[in-house]
Amino acid sequence: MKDVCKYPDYVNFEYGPIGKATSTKDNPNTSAEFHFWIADGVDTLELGNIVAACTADGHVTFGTVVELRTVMDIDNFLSDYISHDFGNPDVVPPSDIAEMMVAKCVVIKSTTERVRPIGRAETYYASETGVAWGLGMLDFAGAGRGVPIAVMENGDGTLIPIFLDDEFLVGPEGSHLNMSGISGLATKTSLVEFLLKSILDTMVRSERRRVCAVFFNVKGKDMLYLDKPNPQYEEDDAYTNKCRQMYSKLGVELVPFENVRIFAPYDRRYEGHTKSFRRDGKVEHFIWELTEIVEDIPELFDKDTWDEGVEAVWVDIRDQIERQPIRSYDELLNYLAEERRVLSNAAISHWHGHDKQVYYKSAKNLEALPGLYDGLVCTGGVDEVDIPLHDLHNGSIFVIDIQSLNDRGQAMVFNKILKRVYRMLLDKNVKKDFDTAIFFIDELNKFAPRDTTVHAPIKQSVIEICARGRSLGVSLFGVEQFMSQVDRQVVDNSSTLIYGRTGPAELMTDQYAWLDADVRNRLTTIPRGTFLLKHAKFVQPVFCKFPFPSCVPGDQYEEEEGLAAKREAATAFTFKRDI
Amino acid sequence: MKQATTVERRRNLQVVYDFLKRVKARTSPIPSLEEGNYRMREGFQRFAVELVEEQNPDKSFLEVAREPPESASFFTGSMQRTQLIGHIELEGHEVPLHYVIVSSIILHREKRVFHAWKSAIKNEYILAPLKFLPEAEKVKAEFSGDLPVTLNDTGGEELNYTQLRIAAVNRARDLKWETRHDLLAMWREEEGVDANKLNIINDSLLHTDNNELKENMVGFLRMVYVPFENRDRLSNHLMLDEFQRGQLFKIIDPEKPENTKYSWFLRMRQIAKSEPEYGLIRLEILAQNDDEARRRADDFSCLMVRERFPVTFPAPEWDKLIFPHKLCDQYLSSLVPSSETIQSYFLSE
Repeated sequence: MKDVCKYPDYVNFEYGPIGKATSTKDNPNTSAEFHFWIADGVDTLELGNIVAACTADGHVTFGTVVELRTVMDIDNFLSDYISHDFGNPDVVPPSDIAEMMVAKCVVIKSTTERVRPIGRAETYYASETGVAWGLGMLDFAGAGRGVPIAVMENGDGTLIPIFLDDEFLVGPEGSHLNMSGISGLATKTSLVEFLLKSILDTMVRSERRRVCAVFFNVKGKDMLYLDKPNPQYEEDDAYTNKCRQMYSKLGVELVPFENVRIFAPYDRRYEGHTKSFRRDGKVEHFIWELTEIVEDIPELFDKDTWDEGVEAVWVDIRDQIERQPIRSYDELLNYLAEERRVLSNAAISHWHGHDKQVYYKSAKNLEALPGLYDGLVCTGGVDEVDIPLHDLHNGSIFVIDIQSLNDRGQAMVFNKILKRVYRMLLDKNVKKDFDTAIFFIDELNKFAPRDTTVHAPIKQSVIEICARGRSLGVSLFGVEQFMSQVDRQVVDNSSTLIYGRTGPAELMTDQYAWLDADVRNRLTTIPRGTFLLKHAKFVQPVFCKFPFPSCVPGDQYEEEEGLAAKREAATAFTFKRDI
Repeated sequence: MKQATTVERRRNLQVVYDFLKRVKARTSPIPSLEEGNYRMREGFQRFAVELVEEQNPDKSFLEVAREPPESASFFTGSMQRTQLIGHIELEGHEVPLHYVIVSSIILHREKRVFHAWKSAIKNEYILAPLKFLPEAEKVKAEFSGDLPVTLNDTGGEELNYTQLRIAAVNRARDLKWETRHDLLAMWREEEGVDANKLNIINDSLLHTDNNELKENMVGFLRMVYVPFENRDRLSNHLMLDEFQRGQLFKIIDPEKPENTKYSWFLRMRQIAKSEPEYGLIRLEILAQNDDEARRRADDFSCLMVRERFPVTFPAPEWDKLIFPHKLCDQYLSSLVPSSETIQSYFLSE
């Protein structure tokens, strides 16, 4: 077959044929899929492998294995039951029932331009070059646009590097990445850490783009130690060595991140003044003054607390803030106290035409806000410290640790930073040393839920970023447990989708309907470090493996003795959430 | 590969089509096989029965007292497919023309797993009654030699439409035997020297001379109709119990007494309310003498009883069809186009 094949580099002929394409009345081959039986002795093929079917005309058709079935020469269970002397499992009949395995493949690409089903064809493992060509990676990787994300381990043992097209990862052709999967497997966060390392290494090296990243740490210590090396790489076990091999294959440096700055809300009680689990002095605090948050204040309360009456009062208070002007939250609190003192006169029943009781409610809300969002709003004489977004530059990473805030607080910070960077990129007059910003946020379903009845103040902002961000260089890497709970526009606008291990109930939703049943089933059991990748440039999704990140996963890092107790104390003000 | 196979099949069918055109026949294919339409004449009438044992041995061969030295490691299957494809008119009579495919395969079983021994032999023929074919010799010369499908005589002495169709089936059977004979000759040379390796042949050995057989070849017949002379001397084999073998007897060809075979019936399985022939098979072997034949009948009965598993349900006659022979049938079926394909080809031409 090698002699006939017009593209011998695309096929692993050295391994030998692994089967032969076939079709039956019940299982005909189509232009979109084909079947092949697996040769005797080939026990390496598994779901997700990429194979090359070589036809007699010399062309090669690539397919991903999406279904494996074993077929025995038994028409029904009864006949096998009888064959074992009516149900005796110890009976060994003199003949072994013929058994075969059949693979169903979805077509990725063919070297022939004619769109037609393949007939009889010898099937081989695709070579590294073949996979690269089949997935279209040769085009963009050859043009210097390839961002390594993982490796695909084919059945022949080859580790094949998988690249994403940066024009579809961070714009302008497409953008955004969405990742889903159940938590606790160290896949989502680790993969983002690895991918970010890969992006920064590749792009900073290529000088084609100037990239910065803003990561939001919404739970635990996930993203707090990007600058610390991963102690896993002190080990010498087989899997760790394989991970090293992956780094080498993908051309990513096995060193932790540089240029990392971490920010967390202000903590007046702790000497480091940061509400963060990281207590080694690396974290910088931020706290905002009234002028910075005034527009967001209504969104920090729920509907019962901030009803229409309160909203009407707030309009007048805002008017006063602008007229007087009131510049700090302390001034606002003083102003509200003075107004309340005046209102204490029983003869006065209204404030600026509003019922006195409604005013009281509004004032009470505003007085409670610094306590509700402790560390976020300047009170008690604390000066404002902003996150220095103008310091973002090519290769830099800002981690915003907002795990201590409740959902509304997290949403506010996320939205504020997102909009400010968006405006920086939009405004060509702003001097900046980056043209692409990557935002990473976990639990995206909280910020852009699909359920329209759930209060989601920043949902529209997120959707807008997803819809328009790609042209500006804003890319959102969103992560959640359940993709079905994220707004459809956010998911559909993501050029790269990643599926980690997923529960069967989630897989029954329409978000996964396009996947073959066997692939869906495999998603329920895929091991750590494995995921299913769908990229805009790939015709079919690919099962990939990625190495341990070069930095230490936050949940595995232990700071020096003594700080554990402080961390424990810190949990007292941390909102409970699913980690 | 498929292209090559398709080209080969088309080429073969094209030869048949060329023949039909050459003899000015009209294509009139039918989808059913002639083997299903007409019963083959057994040709057993000339054989005579001579008893070796007077009674059916009263014992079950389910429990083996000892392991027989032989092992059933080779299985031979053969297939014939005769399909009516066209007609010529002759003196107001319809003369049927047939397309025949015959093939044989030997499967080798090692450690319970099967592989094809060498490769299957497959031959294809056009069957025409040369006696009634215009320019028969000339046409025969044109459709012979290196062609993938060659012309062969159906036989038949009278211009009787039905008899000619029956003759075609019988002729196809002869051709099948020739194919099997060629394959067995190779096996006899290479594998048959080991007397302990049995070859279970899915057919009768009666029409093969003993000098072309070996003692480790066993004929396995699902058809238990015995139109031999003296058949009334056989005890009622239809009354055999499960795993019981019938009395041993010799089958003698009066014209060739040196070709005598030994034979016996065996009930492979039995169920309540089954018909009398359920699970009943007949085996044929060669043996030097009666004692040896008796011993081997016992041994082979044990072996065959073991072969009842795995069952071949729901294949036709699954009660008598052993699994290795079912595999032979499947193998051979996979080599030939379906009768529908052949019909479609000639309908479309």
